[in-house]
Amino acid sequence: MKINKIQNGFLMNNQEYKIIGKEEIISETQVHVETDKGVILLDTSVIINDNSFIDIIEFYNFLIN
Amino acid sequence: MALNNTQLNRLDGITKEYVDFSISGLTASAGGTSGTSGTSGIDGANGPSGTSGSSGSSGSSGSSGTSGSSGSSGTSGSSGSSGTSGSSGSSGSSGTRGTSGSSGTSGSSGTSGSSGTSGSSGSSGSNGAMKLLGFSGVVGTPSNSTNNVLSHSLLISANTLSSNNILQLVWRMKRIGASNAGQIFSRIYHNTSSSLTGATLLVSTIFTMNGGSTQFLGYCERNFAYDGTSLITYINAAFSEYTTGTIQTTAFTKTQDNYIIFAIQCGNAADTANIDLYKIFLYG
Repeated sequence: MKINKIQNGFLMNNQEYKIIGKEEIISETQVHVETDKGVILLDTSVIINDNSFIDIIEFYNFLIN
Repeated sequence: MALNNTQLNRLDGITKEYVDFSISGLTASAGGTSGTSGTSGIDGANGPSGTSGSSGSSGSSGSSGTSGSSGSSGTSGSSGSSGTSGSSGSSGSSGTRGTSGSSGTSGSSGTSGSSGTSGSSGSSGSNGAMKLLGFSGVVGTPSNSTNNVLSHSLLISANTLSSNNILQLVWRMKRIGASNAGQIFSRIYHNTSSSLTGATLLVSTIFTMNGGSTQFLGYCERNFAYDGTSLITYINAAFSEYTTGTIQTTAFTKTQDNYIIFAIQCGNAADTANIDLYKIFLYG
């Protein structure tokens, strides 16, 4: 799956998600992201702006920064 | 003097008619006496007509006249008395099938006849009753690490739900192996594909089973009210519904395919856990 960052959120499946709360890392590869459309599970298989990740913390930091 | 057809009045009063006679011996004398009366005058003219005679007697009756024209019709007569009641009709047709699920209602009364027979039990319908969307009585994909794993999923096809529905999820987490000592976690999500990546958490909590080596099964349930746009439940880590919590509202687009996902996770990387049953009911 590919997503793209936008200000304060990301685009996934042609839908805009605004990050409204803190993340919750639930495993070494998975994170729960609180958005305006609910809590979304993202993992390191997701490509963000054509960038791949192995570490979930790096993944999330890239997503929110 | 000669006289013809003359009536002479005699002195003796006798009236006698003489036809031809004559008088002689008579001599004139001086200063004689007045002569005898002259002869009678001629007959007078006819008198005036007499008065009209009295009316004659009535004539005989005339002959009878011709018959008159017919008279107008008379007014209608009063209504007759009511007829006798008709015979009873035949029995009515059987009633319609009952509503889905439960036994059918009694058939409606037949027309003019006795009540129809009771309808047969209705088949389970998609609307108006509880419907089992899916279930499993066997374990799914296990988690044998600390990863959160999709154990079971069930497709809810587009347009299955409508407003004023209830979605009921029931599942049971299972500890695999008597020596497993760590916690077991479970979560439920929905996604447009059968994948945890990008899935939306349906209950923002973690169903946690403690009791390593002593507790092996944990039965969980959640009911979601559906108003046509969102699934509504509450947030509480309790397994059962018999408690309280804050409200969680999750958007759910009924017009697209959605998967309900049951996930399992081990707190201890050396343990193994799974979900050994699930049931999904739709009320509506």
